[in-house]
Amino acid sequence: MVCKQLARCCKISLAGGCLCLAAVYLVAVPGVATGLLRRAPELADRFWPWLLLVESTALPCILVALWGWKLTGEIGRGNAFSGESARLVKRASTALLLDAALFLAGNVVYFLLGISHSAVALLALFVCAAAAVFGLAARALAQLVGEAARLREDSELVI
Amino acid sequence: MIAVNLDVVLAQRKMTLTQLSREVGVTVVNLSLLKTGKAKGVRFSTLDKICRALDCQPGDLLEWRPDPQP
Repeated sequence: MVCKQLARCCKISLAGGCLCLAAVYLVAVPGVATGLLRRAPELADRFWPWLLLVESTALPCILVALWGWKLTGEIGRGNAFSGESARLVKRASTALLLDAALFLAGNVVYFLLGISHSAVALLALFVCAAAAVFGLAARALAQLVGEAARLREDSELVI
Repeated sequence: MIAVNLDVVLAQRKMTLTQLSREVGVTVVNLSLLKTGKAKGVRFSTLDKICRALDCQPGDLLEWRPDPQP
């Protein structure tokens, strides 16, 4: 019963998070970008590259949300410590790390191309570092869940 | 490797796995895992119950054999 309640709460939080992400990527980011463009038309050549870079970071977020949803399903079935759960967390950590790497690479390229500012590049570095920390924490969690799954499997096969 | 001769002892006692399961309080599925050698271990308490039900020694159930050649 506790697992089902926890899974339900996680699903509600995840759904809320997805709605916020959708609002950010579909409304806030394009809105801020067009507003900036209106105020500073000289930045027109930077509009699409930056919009594409920021919007491209949405795909790993969507994948993490999907895997997170599957993970809550496993938790609800009482299967929190299972190989499948470990795989889902590992995939989510990979997506987070790739997202951070993609955003960092994009920022470096744009800085070298001269379509960025050093302050923006520095801020992006901090954002990527934070994302990398979360990704590594998720990877460590995946390792722990995998070990727990192996222990549980061994225990279930001890008659 | 440790081989489990549960099927041999069951045949000698003319008992089925289902009957043993009822007496020992272990599910048929788990006893089947034990019988087919898929179990990773057996608790002493379970071994005690099985030996009591089958009136046998642990050595009658468990046998060491060298690992098969690859």
